[in-house]
Amino acid sequence: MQSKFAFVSYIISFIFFLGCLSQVACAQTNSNYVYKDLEAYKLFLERTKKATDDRLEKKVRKDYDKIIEEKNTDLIKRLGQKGFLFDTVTYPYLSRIFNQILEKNSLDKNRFHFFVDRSSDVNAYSYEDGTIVCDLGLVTTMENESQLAMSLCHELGHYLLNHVNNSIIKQLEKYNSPEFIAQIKAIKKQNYDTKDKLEALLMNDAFDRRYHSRDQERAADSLGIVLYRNTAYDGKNISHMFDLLGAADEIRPACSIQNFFKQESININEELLRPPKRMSFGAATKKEIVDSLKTHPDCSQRRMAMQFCFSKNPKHGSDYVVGNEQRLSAVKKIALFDEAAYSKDSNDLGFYFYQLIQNNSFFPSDKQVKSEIFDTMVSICSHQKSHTLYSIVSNQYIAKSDNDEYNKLLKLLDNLDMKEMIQITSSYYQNNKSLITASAEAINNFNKLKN
Amino acid sequence: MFSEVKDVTLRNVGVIKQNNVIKGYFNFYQFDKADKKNLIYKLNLVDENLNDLGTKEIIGPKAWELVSTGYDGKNFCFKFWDEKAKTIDLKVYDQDANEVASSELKINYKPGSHDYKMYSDLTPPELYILGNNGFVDYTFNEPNNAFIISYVDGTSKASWQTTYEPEGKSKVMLPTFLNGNGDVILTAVSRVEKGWNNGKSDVSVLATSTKDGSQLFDMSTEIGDNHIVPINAVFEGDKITIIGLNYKSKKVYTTAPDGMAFLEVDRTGKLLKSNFKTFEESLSKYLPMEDHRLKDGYYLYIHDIVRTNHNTNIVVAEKFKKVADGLGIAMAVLSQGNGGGVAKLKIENMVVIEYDMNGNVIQAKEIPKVSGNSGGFPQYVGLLQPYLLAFMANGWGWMDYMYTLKSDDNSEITFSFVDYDRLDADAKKTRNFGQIRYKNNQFTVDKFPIKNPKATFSHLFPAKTNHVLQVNYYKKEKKLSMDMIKLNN
Repeated sequence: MQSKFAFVSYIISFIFFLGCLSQVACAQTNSNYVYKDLEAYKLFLERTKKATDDRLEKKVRKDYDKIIEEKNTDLIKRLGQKGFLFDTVTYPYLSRIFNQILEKNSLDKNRFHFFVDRSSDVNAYSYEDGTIVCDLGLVTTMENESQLAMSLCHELGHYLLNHVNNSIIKQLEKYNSPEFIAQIKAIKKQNYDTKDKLEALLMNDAFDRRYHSRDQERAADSLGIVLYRNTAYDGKNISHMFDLLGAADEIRPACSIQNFFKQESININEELLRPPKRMSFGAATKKEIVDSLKTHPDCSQRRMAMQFCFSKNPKHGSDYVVGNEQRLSAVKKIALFDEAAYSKDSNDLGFYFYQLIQNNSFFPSDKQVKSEIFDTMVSICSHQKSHTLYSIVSNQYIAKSDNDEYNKLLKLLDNLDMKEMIQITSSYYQNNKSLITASAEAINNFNKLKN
Repeated sequence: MFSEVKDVTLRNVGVIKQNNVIKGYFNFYQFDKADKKNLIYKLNLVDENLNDLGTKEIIGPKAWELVSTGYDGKNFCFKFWDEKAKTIDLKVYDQDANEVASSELKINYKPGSHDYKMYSDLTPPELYILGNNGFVDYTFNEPNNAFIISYVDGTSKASWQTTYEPEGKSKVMLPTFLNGNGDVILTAVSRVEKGWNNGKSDVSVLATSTKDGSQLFDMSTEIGDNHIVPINAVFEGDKITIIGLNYKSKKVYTTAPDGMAFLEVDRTGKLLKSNFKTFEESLSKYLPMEDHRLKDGYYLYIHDIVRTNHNTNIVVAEKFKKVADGLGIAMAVLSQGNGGGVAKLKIENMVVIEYDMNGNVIQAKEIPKVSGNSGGFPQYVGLLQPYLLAFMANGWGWMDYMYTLKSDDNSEITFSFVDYDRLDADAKKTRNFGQIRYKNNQFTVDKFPIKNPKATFSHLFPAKTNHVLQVNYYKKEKKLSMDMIKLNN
């Protein structure tokens, strides 16, 4: 999640180039989010679960089934909630990169499913069943096809090495082992401080898993390189992807909030953007153990390892195999728009507004961006009027730094009263009305709010 | 995942305030047994947006309660009450959750005594904050019916306790924290002479040294025929300005105030300047008056006086009058005096008044809300003066005013209240949360229904500036939501 809004600076340069493209499909229709092979996919999930089941010891089978069924249910639910993109440009393009890796490595296509997650996280991930997923955030961050291909090879590495299943089964075996059960019983027998001791036992276990998880990442990198070597991609620029993944955490937006309003000649008091000094009380509890592509073992270490590998044994090829720079640029524009649209579909209008402000700086004359900004402002005013702003604008976001522009926007929305928000929306409409193609409903709603 | 401890007993939940600014919330819960005598508690803090700040594990006695908390900009202070040992502990933690200072006080009163009950009914258990110079607490002292001031500071690690020992005797002495800094703590002291029917009080301003707890001065606020009850105080260079309500008799609990009082004193307690403005002369331009009172026989019950960021003071008040309850009278006659109450208060609009430092009204506004009757007063108090009834009604939670909050820099001040009106002409009557907001020299109002229509029940907590925290319970889904609702005004 950390990289949700990480529009790394290098994007800016090719975005200017993108702006010159005469036409790019931007508007996504609902059918773009429908997986046509859903029924077949459900059977595929069931079949892979059963295949693993047959190899498992009876004592862990029940728990394993429960974990996998829960995961499958969540996955199917997300497929039904517009969580993945199946459009006619991005999905086929990325699928071709993926299929090309399978073909060159003589891997059976029927063992895999490839999805594009609409999230702006700079990430890719895989499931134990052979489902490999690439986030739109990764698409907008990688420089070329070869870096995307390497990311997918890494995820394939996880699957082929059976990392997910091995971890789950190993964990279940441990929890069912006589030693672990005896440790739990011994703690429970004690009269005092039992909860802390149980927590410590589980915490040790979590660190142990984390340690092994790092080993798995190194193994996935190694096998990923082997798979990659069989493709027609070049190895020279590959290690740079780790710099991009590392930089994804740094907040370097294309446009600051203050500048956006300045360009619109809307005066915003700097104080309204300034978050208060954050208090602390020891260390806040981490909600989850973070695990994603960029939070694997240190990016710089992985870059060095990969650089060493490809310099010692160079891999010649091309940075583009199934497409070209222009095609990837077009795909990136769709990705930028769709990851923003996903925030809107997820009812996160605060983040959507932020993404639109960034997209506006890349495409300053884009009618769709201007119109969506106006629509979003009107929605924010409406929600504010009905006292439901909390349902569309996050108030629990924790800033990554003092310069976190998304946090500044949230602070601004938190500070502006309804009258001020209506004034800002009105000024924005006046400045851009020749480009705004807002719906009659939005105009009507706004007029009602003004009155 | 480890933060979700399910098998726990929640002891106390509440807000963390830096004076009138909400900084966050605390959960204090019993986690495990430490040994035969002690329990392991967890003290979890979240910020004003409900983001986790951290959890501290504390070992303490079984009968521990977390009574009050405060934040001074650097450190947190927690006030614990141990019912078995009869002690009050003030513990100060820094932002790394390390204990940096503490103060323990063995109480000097019987918790069931009549005098303590009177004291505790009128003195909130709150901790008070001296800028970023530490925390102050007041505790009843039964031997002389006065109080003990406890001070603790996390930065200097200093702490002291001092007993207020004035000359003469009173029924009870009630402290009200006015203001404080690194040099002085100002407390208004009301010395109630006898019972409530009499209601006579002598009031003074006590100045205590922050450094060592020694008394700097104790000045009476009886000036000529003016009897001033201070509500807050402001430090301005070497001077202190005390703002309060002025009464024309000693019966400050039973009679309506005559107007506002502004006193300027030096650091030794010498009166430099005084200024009195009656409500009649200052308010008549803004509110309808007749026969020296508000029209239709209403009084103003003053809830709070707050200083703004540009040296004006805002008074928040509620209109009320005493009414006879027909049904109550009938019941009293039928039951030969043993029935329900005969007196009620009619409680009406909110009133906000902005004064300059010379006591001139800059603006005053009546904020309409539906008028309603209070609960019936017991017969034994039914004949009391209206203002004393209002004082009691306020203590029993019968008035609609809720609380006052402000922003860090005093540029925004909000007064919250409850209203039972229709929000739209065609809407049903609902129980609404109302907020009067003072910002940019203007008063604006917003209201919304307290209950989320989809929830089984809803409860509101004070929140950061211009927000209120709505906690909703959904019985069918067995779900609890916490929505930070932003007000529109």
